[in-house]
Amino acid sequence: MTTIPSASAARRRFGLFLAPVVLLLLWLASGAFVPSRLGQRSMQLQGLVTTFLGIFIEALPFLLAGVAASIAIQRWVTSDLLSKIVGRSSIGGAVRGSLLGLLFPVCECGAIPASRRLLRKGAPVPLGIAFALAAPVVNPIVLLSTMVAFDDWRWAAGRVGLTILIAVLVALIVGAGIRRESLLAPAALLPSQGDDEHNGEQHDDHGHVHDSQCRHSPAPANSWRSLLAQGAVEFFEMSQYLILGGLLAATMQTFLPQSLLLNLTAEGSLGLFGPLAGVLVLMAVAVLLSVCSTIDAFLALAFLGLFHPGAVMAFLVFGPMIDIKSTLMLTSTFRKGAIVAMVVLAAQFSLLAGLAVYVLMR
Amino acid sequence: MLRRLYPRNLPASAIVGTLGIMFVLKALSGGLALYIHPRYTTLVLICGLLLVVAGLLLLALPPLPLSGPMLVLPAIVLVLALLVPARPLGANLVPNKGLAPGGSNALIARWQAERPSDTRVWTLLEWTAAIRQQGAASLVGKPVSLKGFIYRDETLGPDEVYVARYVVTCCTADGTALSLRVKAPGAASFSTDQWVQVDGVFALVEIDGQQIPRVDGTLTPIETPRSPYLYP
Repeated sequence: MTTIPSASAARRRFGLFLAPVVLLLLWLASGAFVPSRLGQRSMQLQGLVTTFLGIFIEALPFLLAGVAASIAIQRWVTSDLLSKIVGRSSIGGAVRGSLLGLLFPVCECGAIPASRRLLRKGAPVPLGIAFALAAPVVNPIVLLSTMVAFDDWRWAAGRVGLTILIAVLVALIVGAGIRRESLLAPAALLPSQGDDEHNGEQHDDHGHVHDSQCRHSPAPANSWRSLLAQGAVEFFEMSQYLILGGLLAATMQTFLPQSLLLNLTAEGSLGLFGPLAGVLVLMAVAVLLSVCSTIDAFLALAFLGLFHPGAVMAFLVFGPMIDIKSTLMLTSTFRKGAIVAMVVLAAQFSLLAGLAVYVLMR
Repeated sequence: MLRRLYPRNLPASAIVGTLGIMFVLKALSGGLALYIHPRYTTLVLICGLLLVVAGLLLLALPPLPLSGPMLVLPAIVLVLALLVPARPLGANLVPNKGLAPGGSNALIARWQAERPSDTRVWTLLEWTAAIRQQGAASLVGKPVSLKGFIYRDETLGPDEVYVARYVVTCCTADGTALSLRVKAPGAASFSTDQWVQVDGVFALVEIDGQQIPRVDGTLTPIETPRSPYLYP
């Protein structure tokens, strides 16, 4: 969040380059004074904007809920309490992290701010990773929507079980035994003084560790103002990733025909590679669609007749962990190397899970 | 105190507040129907009101450490919402978002549990479900009266068009296009994306050796409905 002067200069140059392109696209999309030859393009862009706004309007309430959960953690979960509950061990942390979503029912837009807050409070890194990956699936709302969509508890159980397994494995491989500083982005590191210094407030995490002091603090107004300021910064920070990711997803949906991907496997020309291709294609579709995990089960149903159950399971497991917007959001919390490892490992394990389901259900 | 209020948080406050107002207006005006399922209207309304309140509260806070992109991106969203006319998903996306022919029966079963016996009140959703579930042959001769927009591909014969409509489960990102082939006099004169009322009779015709469902009847141009999608 702190901008280095050279980086901001580079960003300014980039902005200068980008501005005319953005203006041109805006003009096309507005449809005003657009020559009829470009009418088709103009309509495509309007469709793109509509799809994007659909994703944005749908996701923003959930992002707000995630920020609220994060603020609640900041206010009520002290570092002492946290270490008492989760301990400092990697395995315990990873397992508990993968289950925490049951307490904080957030989807991917909310899981990452909440995860970062836990990390700032000193939670073990594997807990943060497992929570960020698993919470979008391992929560009551998604459990219910999967049961309702498939009308079969085995799908919901398989989805949740595989998600927990993969989240724990990835969390342990990426996060165990490595220094926090090399995995976490500065904003997720302890102690969290970055924001507070900027806010000109004396009120940092330390005050919350000793909760009793906090309650008897002579200026309680400081507390809500500080929380609100942190929430506001978090909201702006996370919405920039939501917006970028939403724009990317809408662009792909508009210009990259889903049917192209689906036809790849529907023709059955892939022989032995069919099952593998099916899993890969639906994983790609999951990334491309970037829909919220609370409803993706209904979409997955649409693929059930076209693809084998393993591929659909891979869609259900991988999509909520990794898609365009969540990957962008992860950069707020983890370093690039850690994110690449998380994405690659989650993809590999989801692929294996999909193939395993394929073999078992054949 | 006043010096702390101004001007550092003014842009952030304006953006959050305007987003909130946009959400509230869209929720109250029914404009949300172009973007998301109506069951989320209350959620969006509450979210909008919270944003308006948050926008006002931001003014009372010390300057926030916000970077340029954090402010520019939400501002772009507002510009898009203001400047770009909302266009319901249309014909150009049908090839990308058409219902997969092979196997969406489970999805349709979720969408459509029961159908009224009078086929004249059926939408494309009921028709698609009925064709999939009870077979097209049992529907031949039934009266059809439905709305949709014109869509074309290269397989159509003279005086034939597709009339299509999107089903949205959650938001426009998951829109799935349903369509029926329609043969009507003067069909060629309707432009693609024009909304029409179809009145006719359900039929099965043989095209390239395959039995294809088709509605034989008339097309009447209509205004784009305020709620252009079907929400199961």
